[in-house]
Amino acid sequence: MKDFILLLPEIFLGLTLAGIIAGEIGYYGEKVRLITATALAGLAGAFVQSWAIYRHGDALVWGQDLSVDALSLFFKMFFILLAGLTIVASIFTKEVDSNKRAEFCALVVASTLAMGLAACSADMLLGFLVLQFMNVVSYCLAAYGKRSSLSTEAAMKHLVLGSASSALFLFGLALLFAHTRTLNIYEMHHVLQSNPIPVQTGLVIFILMFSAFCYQFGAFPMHLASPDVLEGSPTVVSSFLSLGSRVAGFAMALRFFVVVFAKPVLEGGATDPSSAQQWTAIGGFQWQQIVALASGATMLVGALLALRQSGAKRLISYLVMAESGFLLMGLLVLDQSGVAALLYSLLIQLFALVGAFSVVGFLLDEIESDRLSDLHAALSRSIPECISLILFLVCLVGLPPFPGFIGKFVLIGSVIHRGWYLLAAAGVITMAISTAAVARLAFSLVRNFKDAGQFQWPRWEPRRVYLMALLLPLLLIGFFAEPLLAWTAHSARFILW
Amino acid sequence: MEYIPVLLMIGVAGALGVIVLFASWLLGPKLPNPRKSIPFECGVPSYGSSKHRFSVRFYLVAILFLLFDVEAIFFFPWAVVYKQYLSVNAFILIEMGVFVGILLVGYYYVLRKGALEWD
Repeated sequence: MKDFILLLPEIFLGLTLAGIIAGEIGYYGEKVRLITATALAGLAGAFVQSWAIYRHGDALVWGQDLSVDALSLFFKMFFILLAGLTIVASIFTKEVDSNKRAEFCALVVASTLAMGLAACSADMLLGFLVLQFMNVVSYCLAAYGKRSSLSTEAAMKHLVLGSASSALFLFGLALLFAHTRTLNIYEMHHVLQSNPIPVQTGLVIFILMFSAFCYQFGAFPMHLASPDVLEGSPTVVSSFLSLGSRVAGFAMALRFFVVVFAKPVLEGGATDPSSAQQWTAIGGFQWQQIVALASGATMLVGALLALRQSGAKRLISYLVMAESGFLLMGLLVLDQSGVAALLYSLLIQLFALVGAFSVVGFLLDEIESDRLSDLHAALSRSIPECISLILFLVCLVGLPPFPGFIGKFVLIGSVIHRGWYLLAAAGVITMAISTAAVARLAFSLVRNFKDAGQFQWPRWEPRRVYLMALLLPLLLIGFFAEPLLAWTAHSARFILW
Repeated sequence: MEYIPVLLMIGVAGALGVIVLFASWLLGPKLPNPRKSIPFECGVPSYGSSKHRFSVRFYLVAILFLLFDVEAIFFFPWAVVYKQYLSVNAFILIEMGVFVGILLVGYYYVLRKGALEWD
């Protein structure tokens, strides 16, 4: 019974999905709006349930296959909020046709269910299955612009490389299973403590599984398809994929690598592993160096390529890649402050990326182009959208005094504290280059400000209210940084060993 | 050691295929003729190009077959342990009923969306 109560958000999301599918085959015409309302109501209900369970303690449910703890609930609430924002954004965009919105809502809710399960899976077979569930739905979402060849190309690339990465994942998992004879990550940790894996085998397992996760979060060396997928997909789907599948990959990678390849450092005679503030790598090889290399390369490659782009959507896609590099820093420092900084940065990216992609979607609907050379035409039509795009991107790259800076500051600080000075330098250089890329976009928008015509007070359209609703939390995240950092540090608790 | 006959078999099968093809090439007459070179269409003269678009319905039917075939495959291990678990209680039957029920809902969805309609 307790298992069912702790899994109530998933059950509720499953019922919502069933309701949407039933509505989709039953309802036509005007009643389709009921389906969108059902989806949003279901997501709201799941969010409230996740919040209620958050106050409950940590537990391993479903025969120790799922770990319902503060970290998994944080991610579940993140994904539910993202899904809600995506569905609302789809109402304002022309890319998702109104008579196809029910199918779109079904795909988004299905993906959210998979992501929530990915964040709490403690059994790697279950983790693989939910990862595939999430990926297959994302292939369908990427191909949603059926009339666009770019969308089909994006989906094909995502499918082919996603399948390759899942093969790498399985191969690494099979090798790990061959040594530990278990698929549960906590049992794996106990086995590896008593019977350490040979260094070469451990290295191969780590590289295989880390490469698979790198595809999930669009990090070097599996970053090649990610900007194409994000550029080719419909813009609402780009914002959903850039946050959803990427962050689900981080959630699973965080739990897997910390539990299997690290152990707690217990100070002052403490015996409870979950009280440990930091962890130390095990396995006999320096896997943190591999993660540091991937992190540094991802940041620099993403930022440098973003500088060279001539399309707004692709520019943002490369900035997303650079952000993944920053988040990898939170993974490699192996302490609670690093994970807290990672979670805080994710909160900022949620609103910043959804907002930025939404504005690009509006621009694509208005002027039918996202080329930087065509953007000057957007300013006269939509000043609030252009200003909010600049604000979202500035928050994303971390320019002071905007909220993104606090997240980057804490991440770089934790990396310096653990002695990764070169990586910290790469992070600072990346921030500078990303700022230059955003400046290129901003100048393209405001370049012909004099030719904008007579100034008129902007009207309050629904999509502008939506953009303000995204900007406001960003500003609040900046004002209330300390309480939020404390909350994310509290959320970094996960059932350890 | 026990697998050497299998290796021999693979070698003989491969060699036989190669020998037959080689003998056919060596011993057969080489008198090409435009009429002999056209694709065989059961004696009917061929016309037009063979490069034309196929209906996407073939793909839909194939994918749906794949999904329901995988469902059928899941029946096999269930059937193996069915008798043993049925002697305990009827739960094994109910469980398979739930599984089939979920897939029937999917089938109903496919029917309602018209994915199996040919026109």
